Amino acid sequence: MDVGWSSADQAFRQEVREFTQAKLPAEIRDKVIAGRPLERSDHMQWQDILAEKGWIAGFWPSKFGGHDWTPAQSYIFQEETTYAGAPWLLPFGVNYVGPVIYTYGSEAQKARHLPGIVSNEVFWCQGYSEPNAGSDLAQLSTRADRDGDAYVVNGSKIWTSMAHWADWIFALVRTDSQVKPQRGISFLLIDLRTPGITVRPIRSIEGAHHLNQVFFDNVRVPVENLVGEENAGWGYAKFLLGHERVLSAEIGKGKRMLDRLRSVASAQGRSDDPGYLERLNQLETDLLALEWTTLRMLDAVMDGSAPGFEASVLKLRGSTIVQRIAEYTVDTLGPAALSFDPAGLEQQVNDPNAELYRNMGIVSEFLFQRAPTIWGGSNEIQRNIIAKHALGLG
Amino acid sequence: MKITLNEEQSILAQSVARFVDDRRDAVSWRPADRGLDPEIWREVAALGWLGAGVGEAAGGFGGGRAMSVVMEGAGAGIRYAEPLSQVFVALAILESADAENPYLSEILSGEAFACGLIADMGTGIEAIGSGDDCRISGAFKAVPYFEQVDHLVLALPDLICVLDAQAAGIDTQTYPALDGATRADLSLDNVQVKSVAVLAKGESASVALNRGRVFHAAAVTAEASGLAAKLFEDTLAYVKQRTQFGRPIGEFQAVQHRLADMFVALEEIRSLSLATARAAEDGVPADRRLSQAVVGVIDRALHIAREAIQLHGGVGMTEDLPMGAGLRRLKVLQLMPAGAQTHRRTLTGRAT
Repeated sequence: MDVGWSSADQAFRQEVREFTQAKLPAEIRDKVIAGRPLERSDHMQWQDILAEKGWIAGFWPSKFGGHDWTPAQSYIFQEETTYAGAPWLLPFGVNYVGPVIYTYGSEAQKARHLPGIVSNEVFWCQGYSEPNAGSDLAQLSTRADRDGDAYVVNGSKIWTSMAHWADWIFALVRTDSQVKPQRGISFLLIDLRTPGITVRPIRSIEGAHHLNQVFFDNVRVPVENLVGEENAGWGYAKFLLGHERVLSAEIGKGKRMLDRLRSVASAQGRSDDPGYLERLNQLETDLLALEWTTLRMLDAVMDGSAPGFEASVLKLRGSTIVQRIAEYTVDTLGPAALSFDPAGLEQQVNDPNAELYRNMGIVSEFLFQRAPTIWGGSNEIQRNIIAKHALGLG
Repeated sequence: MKITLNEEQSILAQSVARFVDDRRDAVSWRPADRGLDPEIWREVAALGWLGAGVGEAAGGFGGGRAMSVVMEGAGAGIRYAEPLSQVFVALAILESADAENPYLSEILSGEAFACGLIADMGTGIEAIGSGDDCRISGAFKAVPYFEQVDHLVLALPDLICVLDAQAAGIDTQTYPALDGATRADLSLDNVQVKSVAVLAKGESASVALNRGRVFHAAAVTAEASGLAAKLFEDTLAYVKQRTQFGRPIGEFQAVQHRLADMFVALEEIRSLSLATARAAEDGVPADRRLSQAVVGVIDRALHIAREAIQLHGGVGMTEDLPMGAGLRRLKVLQLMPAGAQTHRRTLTGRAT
């Protein structure tokens, strides 16, 4: 079964595959495949390698440092690199804030912020959710009050992935509380070294630290760090979501996780177990359906006929399938999944052959994979979007 | 990528959809008390739909993708789908075995009605002897519209041949079936194959059998795709119009989320059906992914059919609406020989 890739796309796939095989450091690859938590340096080392090749922001326009990749090329790049065991290319700079800046930002903002993303020198994080504004994000209450040439920011952001590693945060803040909630939100770029910012770690259920709460206490942000118009931030936030719509399915990652499931089953002597085969086939079928749905939507995006809700379909299914593979891999381990030592897992010198820690990595990933159905607009929100925009209900 | 239909295929899709839609009244959803309607079949042949299943050298204009287009359109009108499906499988086998055999033109014109039977549909199938004395034994269950069939086109691993449906040694038991077709269990006892009716042997037979398998999978998934779309669209329209507690039931989130999940399932059905159509178009060997696509499509389509009945409430249980007929037809596609259940067993190493 082949979707009929062009010869240029096939050549690009081959190039990405060979590059990844040659350049991805083995210790990072093993860590990713084992499901062990990555450190900042793991991400940065791989992204430096990509930056040197010019592949951090491939889909960006060339005048901002990209290569004008087609959506098909972005898809191929992500599928090939993640399947090979490369770390997730952190999206906060390249996929999220970068396109917002080059689309809506000032010339000074473009000059100041875009090069640091392309060269992988500046680490960004995203300040959206708040303790009282999750799925109902428009209710956010972190305030930015104008005072001379600065906004004074007060409040807090939560579930902020990797804020403890980041240099900058882009944040949605309330600049008008007298209007409809969506109309009083602005999009601010904030240097995390500014006085008044505190980052508090949050340990998640797998025992790792990637989430944070970020507190803002009278933080002065220069007005030139406002992106676009004041009170127009909600529109930029929605624009941002469209930028990785065909990537959210994470096909390469799903395939990699199925490979690991097969190897776990083989090691446990369960490869011929009818119950295992039934479940494996179901997961493979789910991934096959997701892959071809992604390809259909990719095709629609490229010929301009995409209906606009494809991100919701892919996010809904992609998150669910990866979650199921992760849990079934633990189930296949059986009692071997019972050892669990998050601190040890982080400190352990990387050794893919150390069975105890390999199994803990699988358990750790199962726990972490509860998150995708919650983040990025929970799956309940995605169903609301489909019902409203695709089906005309409600 | 080759995903979007070309202009010719789009026109074909529209014409099939219009034909089926115009005859919605004539196409009863209820179980039939008769077999294939010869009038309807002549009309289908005159429209040239059958040519979608084979290439120009064999007298047609299509291939895997065009056949899927016809099957998807026909899927919305259950009565057309089954006879088309079995004829498309027959044509695919015949084209592969020998593109110049005389059966092709007879079938394409609607003059003769054929049924394609692949080895996976039978049990205990054996071909004994060779040359003028080749004999076939074994059983095929639930062959649709057998009473109207002129030619049985048989694809075995090393033999492609055509049997006269009236041939001596074919014992039949005919019954009305779950989906409204009449079906027959065939028992073949040393049925003699005329030497002129042997179309391929050895390697080329195995290639033709593979083509029959892939086209069968593509036909089943395309039909289920068209049928699931019809059930979904009717249900979506119904929840917008049916009022309870003072508002359309489609305004309740509990209902909306079920419709959203049905919509996603339908998108995935279309994707898997496209994958099988591409496999038929490219002439690739039947593999695990082909079987997974069939299983994935039927599982999802059955989900949509069950939800369609549930969301229609009491009226979904009646024959006034197509929901019940849809569920029955999809159960047939699941349970028939070489259907989704057979594919599932193949995948898990528990062959039937």
